[in-house]
Amino acid sequence: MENKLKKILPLFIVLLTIGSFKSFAGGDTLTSLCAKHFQNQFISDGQQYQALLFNNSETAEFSTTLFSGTTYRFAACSGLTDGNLTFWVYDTKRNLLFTNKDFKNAPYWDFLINNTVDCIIEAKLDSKSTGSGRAIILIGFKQPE
Amino acid sequence: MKLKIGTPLKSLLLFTASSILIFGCNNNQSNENKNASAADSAKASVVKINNSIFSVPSPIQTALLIKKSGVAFKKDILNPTDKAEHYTTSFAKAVNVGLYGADLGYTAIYDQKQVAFSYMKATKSLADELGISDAFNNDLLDRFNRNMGNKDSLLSLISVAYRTTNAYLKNNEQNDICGLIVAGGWIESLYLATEIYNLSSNEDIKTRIAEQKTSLKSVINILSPYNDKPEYAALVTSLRALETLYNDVSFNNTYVQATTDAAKKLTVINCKTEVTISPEQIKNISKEITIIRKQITQ
Repeated sequence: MENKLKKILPLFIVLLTIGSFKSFAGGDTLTSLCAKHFQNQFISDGQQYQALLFNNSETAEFSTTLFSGTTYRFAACSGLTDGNLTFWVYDTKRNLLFTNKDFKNAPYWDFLINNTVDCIIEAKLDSKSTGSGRAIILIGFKQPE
Repeated sequence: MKLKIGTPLKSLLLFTASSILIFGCNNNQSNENKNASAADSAKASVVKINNSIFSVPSPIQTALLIKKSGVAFKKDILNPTDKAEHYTTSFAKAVNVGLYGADLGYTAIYDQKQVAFSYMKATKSLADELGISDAFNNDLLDRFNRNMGNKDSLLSLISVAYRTTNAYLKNNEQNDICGLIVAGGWIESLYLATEIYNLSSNEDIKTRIAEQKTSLKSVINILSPYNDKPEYAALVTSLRALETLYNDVSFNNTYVQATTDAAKKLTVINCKTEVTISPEQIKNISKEITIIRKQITQ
């Protein structure tokens, strides 16, 4: 038993250390990847909405006001590849306005707002996800030409 | 030397594992502000992002609407940049980083190159003093200078700098400072809107002032956890007085199904909203936001 422990000890410490550093660096990397979906045409709202979801049954939720005459882009990311985060957009009476679940968890989607609306945004890790993950949603906007 | 694995080493192993895991998880836990209250646990594991119920729209959006109203640039309504050196507390510095950000957006939209640059420098100096200069660095100033005359690039640079700062503060457990920056930007944005409305009586700006009702609740929610600090408590009290004035601003929302164009990855939100705000309410809101703005800029 002691011999086995002796063999795995260095590997164990190295793996834990790498995992720890990865958790610190993950947010910045994920934000950069997510921000790529804005290209140059969308201006960030200056905030980052983030949550650590421990499994695919946990839901992250926040509310926002979307102003009339504006096109918004929501970018939703988790992990280093696209399509890991499902999000839903509801009005304040919980009428569903959109979900990217219908579009293979598209990593970004645009919304043209005809009248100012308060809405609720929910996000979950993809149903096929087996572990925890950091969820980030970025919101950008552009004015009509 | 032969390493002896016995109880002490096992303890070391457990200690190392626990330390790294706790340190890493604590970082994540605080970053995400997982709400562990009893009330939330009853809501089937819903995580409130950033510990706030709503997000706060960008001040740049209101500045764009102000420009669209046709009212000429008004430098005298902005918070002068020479005041920056008089802000000595973290509270005053943070709230004015947000406030100057709104002024910076306004000046950039009006293509006021030199004025915009002075606001960028004032913002950078406060950010430096707060120790959040990563985003507001010399490289940003250079790029800002190089892109003078390109409004879209300037707005993009400003908003990315604020988003980077927002993320940095959340990742470093400085949600109080982060909240003040968001609050400062929102307060200045509403102040500018009321000043321009008083000059123009523009209907779109009037509606935008009314539409701040929900964002005001967000700002209060963001700052409320720090009410044990006198400066925060004073600001929240003032914002609650403003909230009282908003109580009678009414919204009538009608759900209309959204339409989606999958090829364009575009959904058109067709819901109808009617807002009712009286001239008296606008006047009172204008008066109150002026008081709050004075409170944080003096």
